[in-house]
Amino acid sequence: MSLSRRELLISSTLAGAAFVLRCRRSDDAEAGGRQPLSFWLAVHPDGAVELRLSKLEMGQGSWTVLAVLAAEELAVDPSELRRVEMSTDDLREVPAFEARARPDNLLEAGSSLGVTLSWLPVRTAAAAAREMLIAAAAAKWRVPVTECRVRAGRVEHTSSGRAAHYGELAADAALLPVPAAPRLTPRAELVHIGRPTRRVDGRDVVTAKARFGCDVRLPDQLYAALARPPLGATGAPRFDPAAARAVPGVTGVFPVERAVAVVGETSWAALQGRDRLAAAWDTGDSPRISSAAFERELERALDAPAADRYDPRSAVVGAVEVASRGRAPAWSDAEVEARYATPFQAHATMEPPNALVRFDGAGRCEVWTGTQWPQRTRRAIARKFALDMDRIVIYPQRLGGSFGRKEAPDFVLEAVAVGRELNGTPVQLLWSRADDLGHDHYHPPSRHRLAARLRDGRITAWRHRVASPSIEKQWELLGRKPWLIPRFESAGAWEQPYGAADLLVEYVDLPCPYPLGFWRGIEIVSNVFAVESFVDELARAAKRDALDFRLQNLAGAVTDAPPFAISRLGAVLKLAAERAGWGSPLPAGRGRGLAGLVFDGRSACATVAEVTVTGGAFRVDRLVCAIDCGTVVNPLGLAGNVESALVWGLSALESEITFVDGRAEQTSHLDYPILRLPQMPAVEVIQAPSDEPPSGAGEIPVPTVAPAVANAIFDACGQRLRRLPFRIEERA
Amino acid sequence: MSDERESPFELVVDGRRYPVDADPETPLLWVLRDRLGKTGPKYGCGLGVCGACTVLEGDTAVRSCRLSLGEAAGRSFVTLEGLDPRGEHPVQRAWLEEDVSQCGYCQGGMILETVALLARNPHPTDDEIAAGLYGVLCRCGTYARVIRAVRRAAELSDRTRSGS
Repeated sequence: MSLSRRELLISSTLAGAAFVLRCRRSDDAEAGGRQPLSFWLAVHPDGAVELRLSKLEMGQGSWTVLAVLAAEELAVDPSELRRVEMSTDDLREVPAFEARARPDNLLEAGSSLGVTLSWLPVRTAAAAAREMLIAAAAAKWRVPVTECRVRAGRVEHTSSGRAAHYGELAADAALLPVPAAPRLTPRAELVHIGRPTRRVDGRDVVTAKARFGCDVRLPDQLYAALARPPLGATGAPRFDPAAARAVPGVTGVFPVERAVAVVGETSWAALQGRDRLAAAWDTGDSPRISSAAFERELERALDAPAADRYDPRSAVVGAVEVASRGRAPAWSDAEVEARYATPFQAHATMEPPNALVRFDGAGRCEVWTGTQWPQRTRRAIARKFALDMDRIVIYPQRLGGSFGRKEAPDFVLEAVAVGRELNGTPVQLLWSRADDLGHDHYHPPSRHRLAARLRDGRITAWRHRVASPSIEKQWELLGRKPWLIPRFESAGAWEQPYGAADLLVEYVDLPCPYPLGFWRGIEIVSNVFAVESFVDELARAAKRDALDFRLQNLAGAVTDAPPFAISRLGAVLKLAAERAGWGSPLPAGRGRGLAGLVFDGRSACATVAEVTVTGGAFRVDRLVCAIDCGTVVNPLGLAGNVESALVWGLSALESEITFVDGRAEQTSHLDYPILRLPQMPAVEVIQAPSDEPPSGAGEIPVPTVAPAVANAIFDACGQRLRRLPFRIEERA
Repeated sequence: MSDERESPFELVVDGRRYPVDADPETPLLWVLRDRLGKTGPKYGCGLGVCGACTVLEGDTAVRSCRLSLGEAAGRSFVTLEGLDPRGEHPVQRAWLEEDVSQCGYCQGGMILETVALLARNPHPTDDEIAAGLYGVLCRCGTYARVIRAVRRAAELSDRTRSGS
């Protein structure tokens, strides 16, 4: 039985669906006649429906999905819903909320679960409101509820022609009990779900009304920047406060833990002052930390001796078994063997981390910030600063990209530390781009050794050893279940879908001095790069077509991936290949490559890449991506997410973070490149039809990109690229 | 906040005159954001390599993080806020019709860079679109839709010009 990070999240939260219905507010009509029908929905006198936003917007389109789901059940237009953003204080109004087992995903965004987790709760809340409005109308008109229906924001009594808009019914409806099990609109009658819906916040973006964390302004606020120590630094900082204070507009210079804060009247004053500090730290006797040395150690970790079980506290590096079947394949028996490598990566969100903090002088702490995890961040503040949870409120802001970066609370905790010093004065902590690239929670590097045996085009033996420092160990999210760590870190490897009668998948952890974090697709990106590149090598060794080889091995595969996901994968591989003209001839110097995956046992995705190789350079000309993520709520939004994930994968073909003496060498987009518009390939997205529940999409295509491109480059020029970032050797 | 009494600099932003008292070395970006409350231009790199801070000066796109207050003084700029607050400018309409934005952070730069591109080249080829928008980065990867929206904006601008 597989148990993954996402499944843990789902199981802890689907139980939360029920509480949506039991939390009608009791404060009845409010100022302006706004009538709350439940915690989530209210109706205004003019008939407008107000929806509380249970998910954050960071570009993935969650607000649009929430609007579509609610609008569907209430027969209104998604763009007409009045959207209300919530603070962590608002969550306390959910009855029994604090007592329940942490429905952490309220407000939270992540793990490609937004639609999955909203699909039933939001529709249920909206359907309950609909039934209350219908019941109010039926009582008023003295007709059976079964003769009433909703249409275009009104309740109608079909035979008599009577109608009333929601605003006219809300006061009566608000007095009714909230139905526990309202009827959801049947699939055949869906109007908005499954149809393309443009973003409900699109106009706010193009008119600059969309407000990000860094755009929040409070009266008399100040701005702050920090000089941070390199990794391995010891002792207190040395710095030149006078030089910083000489910058016009600088109002304060003080140490904050091991860093130094410069506060000013403008962002520029703070950033300039920080740069003039000349802050320095002793590095003491600590070894000079470079990523080159760390990655060499990681390479050696591939040859570590076997360990009986995973112990997160152990300093001994050992290979832990994650999955096994049949007879464990020995390296010496391999017919095909290969090693793969991936580097450290940064998130490089366009909006660097920032947080605005105000202590009110009486111990209450308010925070305006773009965080993916508002509730956990609030708890982190309480823990670190020994504050009462009730005295902390976070106002989560729209995020200018996150991709996992802003799950880490580090930048918020820094801002709170600075804000506490300035007790009473609001202060906004800014990160420069160099701060961002230099103090990320990085995607860890990985090394892979794979070996296999083949018979008649079938994989009979498979061995895969993953060496990669554990993210989970640093984050301690698994609490008392650390034995799950190897499985999380080797996701995409232990349940590779093609199976093998004899199989052994192992994981080697290597204690990592660098802060690690969750990066779009997480460890699956690296592990699937290795698996899908190796499968391509196996197909060639077996002299089979790469698509046929995959399909042949998927059929009847003995694997830990769930059967429904295997059939999804087979279908999307065929969809992508067919659309891409798989097998049709290409001119010299061009090539095609295929890669697919089952993501987290949920959704399946396949990508065909077409490349041109010229000398030592390659260009990705075209990507065709097919995805099956269950029911699609908004095809336009899904296509955008897939395009976005593909671009994320393309950027990672070229970028890499390296460390020298405890500092990242990369400080800007010039040395940490992300894809630019002229590099954008033609992209085609195919959405597999499905009646299954939504199973997630935001990260799913990312892991297909690197192997599809590597396989295409091999097809084009015969060079096998097994190390990211890709560099083609120019041949004479 | 801007000081009415002894402000050595003056800027015109979105058609309004602002006296500004700040260090002349301050980049225009931070004057706009921290002094004038214009948060449409965003910080992304401070080096002029990401385009998030783009504003218009006439028909020209300017990286406001690379222009000092001293240099900018006396000149007139348009931020995303000032393009058309209703969102009815042809480029904004094209953006909405093509459903371009994701997180939205870079989109002001994309839109204003497109306004500048179409002003100097009303019918750009795909290569000219690519070259014109090379300098604006989008980490969400909206590029495919940006390209479609620029083409559509060119059509909409034609129609606006011909009055239909």
